[in-house]
Amino acid sequence: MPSFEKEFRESKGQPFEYNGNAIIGIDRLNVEKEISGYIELISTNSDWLQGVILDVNGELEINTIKGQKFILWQNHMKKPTFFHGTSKDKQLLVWNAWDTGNGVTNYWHNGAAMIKETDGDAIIYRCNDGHPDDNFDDIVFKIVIDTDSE
Amino acid sequence: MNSDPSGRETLAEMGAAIGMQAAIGAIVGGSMEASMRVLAYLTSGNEVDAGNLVFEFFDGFMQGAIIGGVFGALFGAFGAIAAESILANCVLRSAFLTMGLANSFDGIKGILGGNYWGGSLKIVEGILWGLGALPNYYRGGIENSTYTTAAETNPTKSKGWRLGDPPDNLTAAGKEPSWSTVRQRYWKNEAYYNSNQYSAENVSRMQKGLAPQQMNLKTGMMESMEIHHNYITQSSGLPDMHAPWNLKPVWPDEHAMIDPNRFTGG
Repeated sequence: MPSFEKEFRESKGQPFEYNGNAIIGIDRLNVEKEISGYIELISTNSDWLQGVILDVNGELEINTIKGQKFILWQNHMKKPTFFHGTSKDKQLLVWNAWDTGNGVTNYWHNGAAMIKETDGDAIIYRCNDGHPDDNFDDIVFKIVIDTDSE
Repeated sequence: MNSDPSGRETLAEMGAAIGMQAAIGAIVGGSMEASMRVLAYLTSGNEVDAGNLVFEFFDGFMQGAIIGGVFGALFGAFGAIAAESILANCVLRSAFLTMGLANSFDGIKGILGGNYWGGSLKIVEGILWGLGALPNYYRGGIENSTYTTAAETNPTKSKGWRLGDPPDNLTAAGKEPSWSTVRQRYWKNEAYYNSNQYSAENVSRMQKGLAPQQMNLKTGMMESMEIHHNYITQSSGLPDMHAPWNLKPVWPDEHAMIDPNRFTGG
């Protein structure tokens, strides 16, 4: 059973190839300073609670809440979740997370990894949580960045 | 040691200390004064009379005993306060030292003046006073850990620790474990109970008492998982601060988000 932790350690966090796919642990989306868009859950398949982290060097606003870093858990992502804000370095960081049930937010270790695909305007992420496997279906979600803000 | 949960002396112990000090003061003071009076009588050049000698002895003893008892009780009471207060402890020891030096100087002066017996006794008295400055009477604060065992202060915790036990169990000697010890036990337990949540490398680290690590993909640097004190802060020093229900493993960025005292610099 593959655990991608070792590969990420060796690559110092940089993407690497696995079974013909580029494997990433974090995505640095290039955006404009003013950013808006939405995130939507497509599916989950894990016995652990799944989540997505959005992080900017600036400020995001989601559902009237403002902050630099958000974690959106699967039960709050069933409908498209809209966000807008500013990013000083014109980047939106995205990675997946999970909670095994003890309230701890986990990410980037053991089997964690993402495969990124594009479908029109949408960026789709197929993700592995901490389980050391390679099915990349623990959480699948999409992010759409408004083109007029890019 | 019969102590209340805070490790302080009980009122009964304070009373006993005062009484004991008064009795010792009376015996020492009476003996000293009686000896001096007898010596003064014997070296006065007058004809020695057995009745006068006995009178001088008992009169001197009673006078010395009353003064010694009063002083002893006062010092005993002050000693009981000194057990609670560092300041009182310092004052008491300084008083003993001052009395010791003063009597010693008087003794030296007496010997130099030709009063050998009286001077020698004064020096002995000075030494006895000086001995009172040697002990540390304070029993609170930091020194409490060597005075009252943790088992006495926290009877709900078990002594000794084995894999799977609460990490804040007392040491085999009954002492509160250090944070370093609690942390090592915590990670060993995490490897024992939740090994399926970590890579083989991290399980191996945790089995040695070390925190799991991951590559921080934002910074490209390795980082170690930390343990957050949920409700009772570590700086509080309260007895249950390392209890399992108060501890939560977190990665550094999350720790910085929930704990204003934790900064990652990123």
